[in-house]
Amino acid sequence: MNRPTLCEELQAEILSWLRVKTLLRFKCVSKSFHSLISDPWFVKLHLQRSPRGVDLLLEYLEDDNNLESRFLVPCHIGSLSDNHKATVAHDRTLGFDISGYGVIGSCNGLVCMAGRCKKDERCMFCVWNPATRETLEDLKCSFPIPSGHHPRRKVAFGYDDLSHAYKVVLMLDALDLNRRSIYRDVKVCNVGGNSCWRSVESFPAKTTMQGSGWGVYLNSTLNWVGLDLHDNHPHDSYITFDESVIVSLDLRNEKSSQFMLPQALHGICMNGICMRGSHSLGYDWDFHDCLGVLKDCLTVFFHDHNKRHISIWQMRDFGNHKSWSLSLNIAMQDLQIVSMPRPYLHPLIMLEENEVLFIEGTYKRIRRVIYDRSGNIVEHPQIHCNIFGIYPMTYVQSLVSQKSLGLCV
Amino acid sequence: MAERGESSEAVMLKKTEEEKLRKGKMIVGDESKAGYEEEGKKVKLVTSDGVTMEVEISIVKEMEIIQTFIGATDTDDSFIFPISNVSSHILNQIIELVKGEYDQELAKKLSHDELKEILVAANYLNMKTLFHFIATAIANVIQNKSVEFVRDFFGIVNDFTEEEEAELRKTNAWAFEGVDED
Repeated sequence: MNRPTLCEELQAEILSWLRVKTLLRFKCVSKSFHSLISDPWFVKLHLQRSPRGVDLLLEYLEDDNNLESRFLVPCHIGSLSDNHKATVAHDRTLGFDISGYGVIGSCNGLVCMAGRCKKDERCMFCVWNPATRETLEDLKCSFPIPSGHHPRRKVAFGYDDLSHAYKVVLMLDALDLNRRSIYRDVKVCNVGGNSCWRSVESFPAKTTMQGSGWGVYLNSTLNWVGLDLHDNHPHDSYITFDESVIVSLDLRNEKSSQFMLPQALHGICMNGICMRGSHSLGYDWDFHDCLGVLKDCLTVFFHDHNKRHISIWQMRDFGNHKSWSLSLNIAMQDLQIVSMPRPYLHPLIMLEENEVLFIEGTYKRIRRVIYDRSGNIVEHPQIHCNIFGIYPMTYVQSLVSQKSLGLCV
Repeated sequence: MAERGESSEAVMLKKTEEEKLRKGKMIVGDESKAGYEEEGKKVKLVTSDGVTMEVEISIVKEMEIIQTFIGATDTDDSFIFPISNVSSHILNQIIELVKGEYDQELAKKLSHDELKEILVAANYLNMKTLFHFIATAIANVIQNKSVEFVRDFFGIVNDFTEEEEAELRKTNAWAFEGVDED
């Protein structure tokens, strides 16, 4: 009996569900496999189907006193268990040396890092695909930093699906009378090519930004939590949720808009903790990030240290402040977190409707905490490592490469 | 974890499908024979090896190619639909998978050739849920396998020269680590 054969279309269908590592291997199968796997059409299909929430990138610091000793290590969430400690601590060949760079964001499976050249005060950018381990040379670039004294510059990275361009956003600040940073000038630039900075016209004038400065990327927009500080706001007072807004920059038309945070949180104090700074470009000592993306929704993560509980709010319909809904509300004791008083705890992945994976990263340790709202099941294997700290982030595996850039992905 | 994600996606797909069918049924119900609506009713399908099989309407409903045909014409009990690309053996396998609500364990019992034939059949019959299920099942089979395994699996002849292949293997040498035995 003849063995059944599959036409190329059906072969492509099967291959589109495979992991990137497997596909890189299968490029050797035949010339037709090689061209299929490199085809921008296939790269796009694969990216759409690439599972969300299973791949992590661990940024780790070997020594607190030396910010240059940092590495990025990709890992599958399944390997995040006790067995992983050896890998994290020793396998440097897996990772990308980001000395001198800080991660500023990730989209389409690419991670963008920014650094500052000490000699000539230029911003340097470098884009890396952790799944293929390729550095995209065409996107390597540097721009002069606009002149003026800007103590807290922030940068962010995203993709404009209209012009198929990767863009970086640079926020330049000035200090107000209370020595608070006010972002007065926001500039956008395409990564790669001979582009130059363009100013964003409508950016809110008196806005300072919460968080590490990475804009949170979602569907061609970058989003920050901004505080619209009026001049008579007392310097040392707490900032509440109603004094803040989400500032959103649409990378397609380079225009900004803003919308309110969940109404139920109005009047409540946004007390953050200082954990992560974007070391390379500014001198930030930042608030704990409270904005993220879970299940393709813009998400506010609120860690109330006084009442010791955590809540997660999601904007179901992007841009519509009436669509904020409470997804999760957990008492800290249910999570069995022991690293008190203020753990670095971040919701990374919403696994199912009722499950959230938190990563608790404290000194020399990373913990995976899965909270299941329906059954209160908590799972928290630990990884101890011989390094100073780990900062996890999620990314999506993709085949996006030098060759497929600007074509259709 | 990935498996759970996939299966829930499959369920979602199935739900949309059912919804679509329900909507379709409402329109069909107005103008076609009422008998088609009856639960437990069977449709006769003639397979490529000439076997006439009576298949439950709930399963036939997933075959969009037949669905369109039924919707477009008046049908009665004597209606026989030829499916010239699908053997009785494969149709039986398909019925098992649909009845088993697309359980990954069932897919593991299928041979490689059966998996491929079901994929071809699902594509021909336009069974979206089955197609997605089988494509991901085959992907799971080859995920950690060697280049040689995949050539054999798809019946592909290597058209690279020895030098070309060696060069490609060198470029992504790390992707060849940790591969399962064939």
